[in-house]
Amino acid sequence: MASFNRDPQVRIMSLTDSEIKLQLSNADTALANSFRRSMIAEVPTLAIDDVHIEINTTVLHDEFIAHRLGLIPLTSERAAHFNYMRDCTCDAGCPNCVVKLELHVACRDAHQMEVTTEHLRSTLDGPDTSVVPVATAAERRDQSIQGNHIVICKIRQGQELKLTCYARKGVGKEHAKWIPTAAVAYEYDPDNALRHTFYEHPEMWPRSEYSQLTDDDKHEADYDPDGTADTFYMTVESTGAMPPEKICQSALESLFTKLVDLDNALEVLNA
Amino acid sequence: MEAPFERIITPAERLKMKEKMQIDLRDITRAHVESFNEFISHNLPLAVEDLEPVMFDVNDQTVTTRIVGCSIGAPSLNSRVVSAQTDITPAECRQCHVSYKGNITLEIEINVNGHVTTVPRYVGQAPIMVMSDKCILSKLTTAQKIAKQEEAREFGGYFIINGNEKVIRMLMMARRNHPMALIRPSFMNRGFKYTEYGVQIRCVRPDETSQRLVLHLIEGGRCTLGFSIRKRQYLIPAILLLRALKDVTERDIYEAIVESDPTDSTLKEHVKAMLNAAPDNTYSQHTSLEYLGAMFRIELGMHPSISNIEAARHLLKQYIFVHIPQHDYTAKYDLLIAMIRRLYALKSGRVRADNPDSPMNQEVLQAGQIYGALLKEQMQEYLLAMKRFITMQVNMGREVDVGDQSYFRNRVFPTMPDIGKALDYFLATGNLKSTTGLDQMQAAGFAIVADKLNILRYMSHFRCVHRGAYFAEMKTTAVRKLLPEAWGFICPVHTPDGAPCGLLNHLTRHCTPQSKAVSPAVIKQLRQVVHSLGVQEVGMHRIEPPVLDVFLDGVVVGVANVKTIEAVALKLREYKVLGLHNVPEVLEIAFIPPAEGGVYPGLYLFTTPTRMLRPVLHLGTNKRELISSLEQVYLDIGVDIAECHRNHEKFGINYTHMEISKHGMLSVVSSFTPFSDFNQSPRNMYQCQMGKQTMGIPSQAIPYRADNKLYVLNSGQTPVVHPRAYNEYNLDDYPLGNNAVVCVIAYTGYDMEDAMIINKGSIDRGFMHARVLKTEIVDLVDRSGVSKAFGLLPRHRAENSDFLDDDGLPRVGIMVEKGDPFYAVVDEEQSNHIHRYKGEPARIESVRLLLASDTSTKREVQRIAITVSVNRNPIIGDKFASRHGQKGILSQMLPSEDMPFTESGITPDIIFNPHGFPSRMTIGMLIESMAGKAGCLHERFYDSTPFQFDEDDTAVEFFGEELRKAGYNYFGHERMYSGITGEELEVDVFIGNVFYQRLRHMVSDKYQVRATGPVDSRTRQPIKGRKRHGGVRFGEMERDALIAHGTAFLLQDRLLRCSDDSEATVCKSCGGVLSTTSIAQSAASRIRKDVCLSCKDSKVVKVRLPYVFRYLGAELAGMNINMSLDVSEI
Repeated sequence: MASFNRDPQVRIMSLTDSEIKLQLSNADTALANSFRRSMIAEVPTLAIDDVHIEINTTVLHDEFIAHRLGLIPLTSERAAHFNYMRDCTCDAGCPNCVVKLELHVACRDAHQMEVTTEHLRSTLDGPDTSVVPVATAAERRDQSIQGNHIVICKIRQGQELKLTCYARKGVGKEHAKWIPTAAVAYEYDPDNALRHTFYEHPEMWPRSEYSQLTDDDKHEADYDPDGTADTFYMTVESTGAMPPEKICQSALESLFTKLVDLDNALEVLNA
Repeated sequence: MEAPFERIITPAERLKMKEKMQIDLRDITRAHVESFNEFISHNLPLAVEDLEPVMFDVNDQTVTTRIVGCSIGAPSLNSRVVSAQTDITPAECRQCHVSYKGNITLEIEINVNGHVTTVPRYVGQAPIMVMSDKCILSKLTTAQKIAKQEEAREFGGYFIINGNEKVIRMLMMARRNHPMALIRPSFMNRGFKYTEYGVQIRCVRPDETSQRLVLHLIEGGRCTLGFSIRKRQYLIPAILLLRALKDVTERDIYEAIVESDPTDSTLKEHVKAMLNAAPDNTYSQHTSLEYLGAMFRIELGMHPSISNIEAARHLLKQYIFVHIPQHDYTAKYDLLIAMIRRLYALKSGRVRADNPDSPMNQEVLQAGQIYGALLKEQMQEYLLAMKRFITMQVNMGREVDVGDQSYFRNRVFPTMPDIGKALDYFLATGNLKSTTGLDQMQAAGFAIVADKLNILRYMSHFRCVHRGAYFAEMKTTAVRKLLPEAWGFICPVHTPDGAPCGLLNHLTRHCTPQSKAVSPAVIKQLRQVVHSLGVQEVGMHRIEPPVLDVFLDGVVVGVANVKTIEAVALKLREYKVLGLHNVPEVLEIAFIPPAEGGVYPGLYLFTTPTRMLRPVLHLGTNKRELISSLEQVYLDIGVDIAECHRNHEKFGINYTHMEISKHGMLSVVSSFTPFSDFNQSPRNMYQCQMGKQTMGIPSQAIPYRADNKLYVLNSGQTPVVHPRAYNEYNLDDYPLGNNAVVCVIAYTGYDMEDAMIINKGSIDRGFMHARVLKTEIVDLVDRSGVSKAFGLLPRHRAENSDFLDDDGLPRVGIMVEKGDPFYAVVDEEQSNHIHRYKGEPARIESVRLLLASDTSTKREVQRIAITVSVNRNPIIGDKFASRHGQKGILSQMLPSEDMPFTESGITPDIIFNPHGFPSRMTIGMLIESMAGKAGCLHERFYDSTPFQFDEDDTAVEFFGEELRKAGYNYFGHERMYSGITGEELEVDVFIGNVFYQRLRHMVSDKYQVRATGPVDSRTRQPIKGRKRHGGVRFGEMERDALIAHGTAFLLQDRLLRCSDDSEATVCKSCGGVLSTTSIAQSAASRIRKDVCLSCKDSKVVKVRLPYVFRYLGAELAGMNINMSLDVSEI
C-alpha cells in the first residue's frame, strides 16, 4: 500500500471516445500494473452469452455465428446496474440480469446481403433498450454516423437467419468478449534511465513520445542508479463497449472493492 | 521470363495482381488427366489392335476369337439399377460411396471355320477419371461445376471408388527405348559364367505397354538376350536373334560390331566367341526362325496349324524390341548390334555404366498408362477365359455349339470374368493382380487415397512420383540420393523424412510429364530432317571416324561423324525452338559427346510420352523451350542473366539456356514456404510435411462431401507475408491458418522444449477455432432383401422425440452426446432398435438419404449418411506450427492480463521460446516475423518468394528499414513489460507477426486414460489400444526407473494391482498352481473347498499371484515341465 500512502496522482493528458492517455505519478509498478490488469480482467461489461438459433440456412454453422455474436461489443455503461446471472435472485434470467436481443433476416432477392449488428434488435419487453451494439448506439447519438455496423454474416437469396440472443454481465477474466479494452499499455522510463532494459544499439530505438531528452544525438538518458519507477504514462483504448474514462473508473472501483475485502478479511483474521 | 518482383503489395494491388497471376489449377493434374484421355482416344484402339487372337479347336471346328473393338461409355449407374435416370455425377458418387464408372463394351469377333460373326458384349464398368474427356465435368464452366455440387476449381485427375478419391501414383520407370549399360552383380546369377555386365532396354509399344529386355554378357564374349513371357524368364543367344532378324553373313555381323573399335583385339575375340555360340543348323534366317519357333511355340500357346516360322515371327513381334513396328526387322537388327557394341564397350571399360537411379535415365509412368496396360491384359484374359471355358465344356462332354450365337450369349458370356471388377479392385486396393506383371517390379501400392485434409496435401498426391515399392526394401541408400540431374524436374526439398525419404519425390511446379504421343507421320518427317542434315543410313558408306549412332525413339536411324552430329544437334534444336520443318516441341535432343570413360556417346532423339518436360528459355532465340532430363545434362543453363554474364567472363561458359524462374526448382508445396532460402534445408523439408498436416478449409463444397473425417478451420486468413506462388495458386480459396503476433521470450517456463504459450484472449476471440465433420454411413441392406427400415414406432416417440424424428433419423441441428439416441431401425418383427451415439459431443450437421449401392435394385431408403460436427477449438495439448518446420504443443493458455505487453499495449498471441532458434537456424521465420510486423503497420502484404534478396541487398536491411519507417525498432525488437509484476523486462524482445498453422494432431483424438477396464482373456493383463479403452504400456524401462527410485509400492501398484493381480491356490504338498481347484463339499452343499486334484489333498493355501504366472505354468506344463511353488506360512 506504499503507493497509496504516497498519494498517487492521475493527470489526464488526452481523451477521445475511444482512447484515454493519462499520467499516473507518485505510484509504483504494483499499483500501475494492478490498475492495468483490473481494466482488462475485472471491469464488468455486457456481452451476448447465449444464442438460441431457430433458423440458420446461411453458409456459416451455428457455433460460428454464435461465437461472432458473442464478440460484438454492446454498450455496457450500465453494466454496474446489472446482476451477474449467477448472483441474481431469478431462476432463468430476468430483466435485472439478462438483455434479450433478436435477429431475423432473410434474403429474398438475387443480391448478396450483409447481416450486421444493425439487424440485432433489443426486444420491447426488455427492461433496457440502452444495451445495443455500439454502432447502433453511435447512430442513436449522432444521426450522421452511419454504416459502422459489424457484419455477422453474408447471405444470398433464399438464406435466412433467425435467432434470439441473451446478453449477460461478465468480466474479462472469464472470457475475452467481456474485455472492454482493446489495448492497455504503460511505460515508466521513456529514456531508459533506470536501465531495466539493456539496449545493444540505443541509436536504433525510436524515441518515446514521453522522452525528456533534448539532445538529438543522445539516445538514452544517463544511468540513474537511485531512480525508481514512479511515473506511469498509460494509454487505454476501448472497444467501444464503455468510454475509456469509465473503464478506468470501473477498474479502480473493482480494485478498491478488492482491497476493502482484503482489509476486512485481515481485520477478521487479526481479531 | 517471369515478371519482375514487387516486394511490397498493397491490398488493392494484390487483388488485381491475383487475377492476372492466377494459374489454372488443372496444371497440377494435367499429367493424370491427359494420360487418361490419351489412353481412351489413342492407346485403347492400338491396344485392341495389338491383342492376340485366340485359336482353339472344338471337335472338328477351329475357332478364332478376337476383340475388334472396345468402348467405354459415359459415367452411369449399373444397368441393373432400377432408376429412371442412369447418369451419375462425381458429387453423387462421393456422397453415396459408390464408384464413378462407365460401361465397357467389347466387340468380340468369333470366327468358326471362316464363318465370322461379331457380337458386342457388356463386360462390366470401368472407373472413369474425373475431369477427363469421359467425365461429365470436363466441358463445364465454373458456374455449371458449382451447380453440379463440385469445387469451382475442380481439377480432377482421380477416380472415385466407393466414394473415395483414388489416385494412381506416378512411378519412376527406366527411360523407354533407351539402351542402358548396367553393372549389376545379380546378372551373374543368370547362369553359368554370366558376368555382371548387361545392357537393358525397356521397350514400349505404341499402346504404352512395355517389355523389358536385358542383353547379358557371358565370360569369353558370348551374349544372350533375356526377357520374360508371363513372368517366366528366357534367354536367347544374341547371334540366333541376329540371324533370325536379318539374313546376313557372319562377316557382316563381325564387321558391324568391330567397326566401332577396329584396334581392340579382345573385342575381336569376343565377337568371334559370340558368333560361334549359335545353335546347330541355324546358319540362315529361315533356319533360325524355324529353330526359334520350335523352341517357343508351346510357351506362346500357338495353335498347331501355325508354322514354326510364324510362331517365331510372333515371338519377335510380341517380345523383341516391341517399340519397333513388327515388320521392320532391320531396325531391330541394328538396335541389337548397337546394344552388343555397347555391352562390349562397357566390359572393356571404355564407357561408364549408366546410373539407373538418375532422373536422366528415367521417365514417369502415369495413370493412363498403367490403367491402359491393365485393361489390355484383362481383354486378352477375357479371350483366354473363353477358350478355357469352351475347351473345358468339350472335355466334360457337354454339348457345345460354337456355330450358334445363342450358345455364346447364354452359356459362355455369362460365365466370363467382369473386366470392370478387375479395374475396380486395382483402384480400390492398389494391388495388381496380373498374369504378366505388366512389366512392373511391384504388385501393390499403385493407387492411393487422395486425402482431402487440406489443399496442400490434396495437391501433392497428384505431384508425387514414387521410385517403386521394390526400392523401399533395399538396404543401400544409393537410390534415395538426390542427384544433380534431378534439377528442375524433381523438388530437392519436398520428400518425407523417414522410410520413404528420397523414394517418394515430387515434381517441380513447372515439370509436366509428357502424356501425348507424337504422331507417326511427324516422326517420319523428323527422320527425313535428320537425314537431310547429314546423318547417313546405317552401313551404307564410309564415314571418317569417330562415328556415332543416331537414335530416334530407340531406333538407330543413322550414323555420322562426331562433328556432323554436333552440328545436327544444334540445327535440330533451332528447328525445334522455332517450330520449323514440323519438328515437335517435345523433341529431346541429347547429344552425348565421346569422352574416355564417359557415358556411351551418340545422339539420342526422343519424342516419346512420359518423359519429364520443363520449360527453359532458349537464349539464342529468346523463346521458351521444353527440355527433358537426358538432354539437360548436356546443356548449359544459367540461373539468371547475372550468372550467365559472370560465368562467361570468369570461366568462358557459353550458356545456351536460362531458367524461367529461380524458384522453379521447387515443388508446388515447397514453393509456399516463405523465405525458404533463409532456412536450414531440413526445416524446409519438415515444413513440406507439416503443411500437409495443417487444418484449413479443404474444400468449397463441404456440404456435398461425405468423407469419414473432414477437418475444417473456422476462420482462415491470408498470410500477411506470402510468396508469389500463394497468389498464383490462389490459396485464399483454401486458407491454411491464422496470422499471429509472436514474441520470442522465455516466459513462465511453460514454453520450454518446443511448447508454446497462447494468449487465452486470442483463443476466446476465435484464434485457430476449428471443427471436425464426421460422417457415418448406416447401411441396412443385407442379403435377405429388405428386412429393416428406418423409423421410430409411436410407442417410442415420447422418450426420444428430443433427438429423433418419426422417421427414425436424427433431428438436424441438435446436440448429441455419448449415449443419446442417434437413429432408430424397425425390423420385420416390428421391434424398434434405437442406436445410440458414440463419440464426442457433437451437433448433427446433416442427414442424407443415399442410393443403396451401385448395384442395388432396392427402392427403399436403406442407406443414410449422418454427418456430425465436432467443435475442436484449441486446448492444451494441441499442435501448432509456423511455416518453417517449427512445431510446438500448446502448453498453457495464459490470460491476456498475464501476458507480457509492449508499450503500445500489444499482447502477443503466441510466446515462442528463443531456444527454438539457435540449433534450427530458421532465419526465414525471423524475417517473416519482421516482414509480418511491417506489413501490419503499413497495411500491406510482402512478397516472400525465395531468392529475391542477396548479400548486397539483404532482407534484414529491407524489412528493418520498413519497420523504422513505421516508427519501430529497426531489428523488430520492442521493450516489453511483465504482465504479472508490471516491471520492464530486462531484455528487449523480438516480436512480430508470423503465420501459424494448426496441425491435425489434437489431444482430443489421442488422450488415453484408464483405471480398470477390459483385460486380455489369456493373461488378464490390460489390453492395449485407445479405441478399446486399453492401457498405456508400462514397459521394462519404466519398471527399471521405479526400481532405481526404490518406489516399491508404486511398482507393485503399477505392475500387479492395476494389472493381473489374482488370487491363486497352491497345493502345499506338491506346490502345484494348476492342480488345485475348488469343489463342492457334497452334492447338496453350497460350501466349496479348495483341493489339489493331483495330491487328492486339501492342504491348499491362497496366495496372490500375477495371473500371467499361471499361464506360464500352463505353457510349461504343455512342454512337460512341472512348476512347483514352495509355500510356507509366515
